[in-house]
Amino acid sequence: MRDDADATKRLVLSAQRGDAGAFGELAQLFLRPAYAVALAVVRRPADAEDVAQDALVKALGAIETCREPGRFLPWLLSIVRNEARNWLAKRKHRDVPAEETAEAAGPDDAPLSTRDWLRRALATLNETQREVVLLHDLEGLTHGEIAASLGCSEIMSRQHLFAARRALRTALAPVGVHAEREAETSHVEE
Amino acid sequence: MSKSEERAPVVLRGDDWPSETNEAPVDLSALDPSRDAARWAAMVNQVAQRARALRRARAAPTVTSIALAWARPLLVAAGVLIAATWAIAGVRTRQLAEAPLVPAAITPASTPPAFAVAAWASADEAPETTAILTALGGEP
Repeated sequence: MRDDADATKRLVLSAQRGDAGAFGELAQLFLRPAYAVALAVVRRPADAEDVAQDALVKALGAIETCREPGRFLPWLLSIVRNEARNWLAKRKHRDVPAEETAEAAGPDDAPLSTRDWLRRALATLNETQREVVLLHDLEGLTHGEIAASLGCSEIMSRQHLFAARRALRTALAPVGVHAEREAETSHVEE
Repeated sequence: MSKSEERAPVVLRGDDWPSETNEAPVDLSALDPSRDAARWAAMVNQVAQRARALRRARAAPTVTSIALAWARPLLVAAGVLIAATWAIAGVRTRQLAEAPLVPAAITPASTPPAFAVAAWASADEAPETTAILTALGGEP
């Protein structure tokens, strides 16, 4: 998909000429990375879905302003990042911060789902580390693509990924304990 | 191994990055929104539709865009008109400033006697006899 930069470029050029089909293909290809970046910023999956959709609509609606069709992904992700930060700033005024809700339910409360544990673990990373690990491990982007998106070197992208994975493992360590407890409980019940 | 070989900088690119510095990836699939394929497909379609609608709306002429489209040539035409009027007015003012108080055309030989006499009176002149005769149509 994203490996074929020429195909993306052709799609962007088609969309700029008004080809309706190209919009569908671009949405299909790039909603997921948009979601990953939005999730890195806003941290709530449901909110990230809304932000990713809004940002992608905004970007595709103004596709003619993409001056370098060959660099569509970094262009799109910068729009998503800005949209997510604006959204986060608005949410701070009207809502509870994401980290509070993410940590509201501790291990002593009702059992957390894997998704909740991942959210908690991701909250321990900084925004750049979250973006790198989500784009790489969830979306399968290469370090070259991530580096172009973040405006850093590939080496820096690798370092962020390394630090992010290590921090995630540390934060997710209780999940193993939790799983063992579940196993013990189920064994006793049997 | 020579000293230069020992000091050669190590440049890590792409897949050359040593495996011992790589942490094993964490399974993040629980956060993958496309696990519900039908919901995800609906979301993608909605994005594409909204984007197409937004682009159509931007391309369609609005009252403001129409007004702006007309305003530009009208402003240019008004500007040209103002500049031309100003230039003509300038020329006319200069011509009037350079014109004599008593028109050259009012001379004894070419004007009616009343004008000639009035010109002499307003200039407080005492014309010569030949001029008076000329003004009255006689031979000097």
